[in-house]
Amino acid sequence: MVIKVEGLVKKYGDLVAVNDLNLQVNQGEVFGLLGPNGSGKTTTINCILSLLSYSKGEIQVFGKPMAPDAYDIKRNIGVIMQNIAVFDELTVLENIDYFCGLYINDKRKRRNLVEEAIEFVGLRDYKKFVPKELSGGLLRRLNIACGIAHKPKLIILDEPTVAVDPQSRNNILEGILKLNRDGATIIYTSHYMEEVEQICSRICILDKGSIIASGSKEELKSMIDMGEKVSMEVFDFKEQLLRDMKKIPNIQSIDYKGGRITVKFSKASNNLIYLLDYLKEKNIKFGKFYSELPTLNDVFLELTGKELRD
Amino acid sequence: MFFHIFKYRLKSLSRNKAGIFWAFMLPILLATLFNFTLVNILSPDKHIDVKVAVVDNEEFHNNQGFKSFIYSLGGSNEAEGNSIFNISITPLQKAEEMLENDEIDGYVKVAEDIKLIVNDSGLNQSIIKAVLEDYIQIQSTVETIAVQNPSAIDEGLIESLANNVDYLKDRSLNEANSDSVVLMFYSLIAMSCMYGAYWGLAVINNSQADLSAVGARLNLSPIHKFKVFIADTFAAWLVQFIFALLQLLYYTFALGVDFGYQVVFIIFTMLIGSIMGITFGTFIGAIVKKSEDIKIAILASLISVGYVLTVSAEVKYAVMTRLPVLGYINPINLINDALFSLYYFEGYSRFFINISIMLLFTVIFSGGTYLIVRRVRYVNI
Ligand SMILES: Nc1ncnc2c1ncn2[C@@H]1O[C@H](COP(=O)(O)OP(=O)(O)OP(=O)(O)O)[C@@H](O)[C@H]1O
Ligand SMILES: [Mg+2]
Repeated sequence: MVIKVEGLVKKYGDLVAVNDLNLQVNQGEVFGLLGPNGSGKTTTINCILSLLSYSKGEIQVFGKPMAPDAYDIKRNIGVIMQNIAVFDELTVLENIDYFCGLYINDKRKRRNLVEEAIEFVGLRDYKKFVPKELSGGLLRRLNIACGIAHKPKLIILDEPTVAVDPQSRNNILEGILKLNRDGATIIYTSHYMEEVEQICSRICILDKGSIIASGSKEELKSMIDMGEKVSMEVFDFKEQLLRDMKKIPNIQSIDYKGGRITVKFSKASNNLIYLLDYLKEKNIKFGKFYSELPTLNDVFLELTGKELRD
Repeated sequence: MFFHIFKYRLKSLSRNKAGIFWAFMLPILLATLFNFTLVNILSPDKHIDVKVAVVDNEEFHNNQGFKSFIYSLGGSNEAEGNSIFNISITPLQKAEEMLENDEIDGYVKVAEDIKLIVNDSGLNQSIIKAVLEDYIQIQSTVETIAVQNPSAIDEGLIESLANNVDYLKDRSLNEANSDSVVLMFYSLIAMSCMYGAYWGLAVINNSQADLSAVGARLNLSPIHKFKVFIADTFAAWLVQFIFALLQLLYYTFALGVDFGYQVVFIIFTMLIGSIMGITFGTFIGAIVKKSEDIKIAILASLISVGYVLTVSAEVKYAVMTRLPVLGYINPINLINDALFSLYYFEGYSRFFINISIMLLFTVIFSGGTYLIVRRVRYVNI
């Protein structure tokens, strides 16, 4: 087991930011910590890393108790914080070399690692640039390179893709998977469910400092009642019909907004047939029509009664 | 590892434009400006001439040590040129009269102890005071030794101690640089040393997880944060010291300021002044829990106040005579005064007193910083 957290409680004054949290991260996983803004992801990570003091809880990393001076543990961790942490006056190359040098003494070895990291994040053409000259996405990549150049066994990324364009984001996500294939255990926090769904093999959903569900994305989705969500464009639709539509079997909820009906079904067979039969019977005209599986957002919604993102 | 951190910190600090401005460009600019405006205004042949009376009473005549001290000040020492002191020995009433009429800068009265009476404060008064203090200090040393080891007196002790008195050098000031100008440059050097605080601020910001993201990253690395902190401080010290040296070169060669022949001591003062400035910055950076801009504003205003209190001879001596404590706790005054004492006095006691207080401040600032930042986990970030 790479990380084991038991009964973690962290308060900022009266505010309980993390409330009796338990979690485990296994070797080789891409572990996702998913939660809305302010749910306590960063706080949890910083407690695990012994940056923050906490009122209660046991934290083990690599099977040993984590502490601020547990240097042999820290040596094997790479962290990419939510905030960019680089020296403004140093170039891309110098920044990576500086941080790598805190872990790796051997000069030749370090030079190779730094080159690899630069290659990995695709900053080869920017070696001599200072952070100010980099775009937001490139800066994020530099931030990542500084955290992983020393090839840690455990990599923790706290929302590394905030404010990054979709293409850079995909590069980053693919990079993370590559690091994982090369043997690193990954902890990834985000409030973007798509990202977490895309790369994480196991996910914990965090809300108000507590874990409300955990498992693989399939497991999480099977926890909830909802089976599928149907969305269709309708013409000349009378809203009074909505109440009548609830008679369709297995319907959980139905919504009408902007010429569009969204229907959520609980898990059952033949849901679509019932719906289409009804539309035909009532002679309701419809245009684009599609059906989706539940997303983590639906899981979050059903578990907490609110949207993951507003 | 230590060198790795040191090297990169050196690089990043020496590229820090704001720091370079405060610690280097600003004093250079001010110096250049002052040099062109002031040098011409100040009268070129201003002589220091300290007129002092000694009250002619029994106590004075009985105090052989003091008597010979006064005579030696009075310019009998032809070999070393004219003394800046003009001493008259008069009855009390006459001395009072002379002081009233501004014929003398002050008079000295020997009673149970030695008293200096002045009715104004200025450079001359302070010079008398400094000289008397020197005498009293030496005299009490002699007395202590005489009690503990009476035979020492016969072994020429008094002479050897008396030679240590920081007799004032006579300076003919009709050269291009008058005392005020030199004093002003001392203040600038002192100010720039204290602006080393800016580097100190950068160092503390970058080592603390609750002050910067880089600090957080460093706290996650397998290196003790004090190791980083100390390597950073040494780098800052070196950067600041190099800038101070460049300044000295600029003042000497570009502006033609003559600092006398004590260059090694001046450089030593800048070395100690720089570390005092840097630790001042780390201390303010650690103790003030506000944004970096506010910290810089606090540093800049403290330093400016300290600077203003030393920049002109009049203000400096008003402080020294009316509120001496302020002089001793104003780091800029300490640096300035150390340099000043090199310029005016032959001995080094005053110089080393200033240096000692500077070192004491350095210890207090760094100790205070340590106490504030030593915690290993942060309450919040
Ligand atoms: N330094 C602090 N002082 C006081 N309260 C804080 C502090 N840092 C965080 N909090 C509070 O603790 C809670 C958890 O914050 P945290 O930053 O851990 O959330 P997060 O899940 O990382 O959010 P985000 O997605 O916005 O990064 C929030 O309510 C936040 O307001
Ligand atoms: Mg966060």
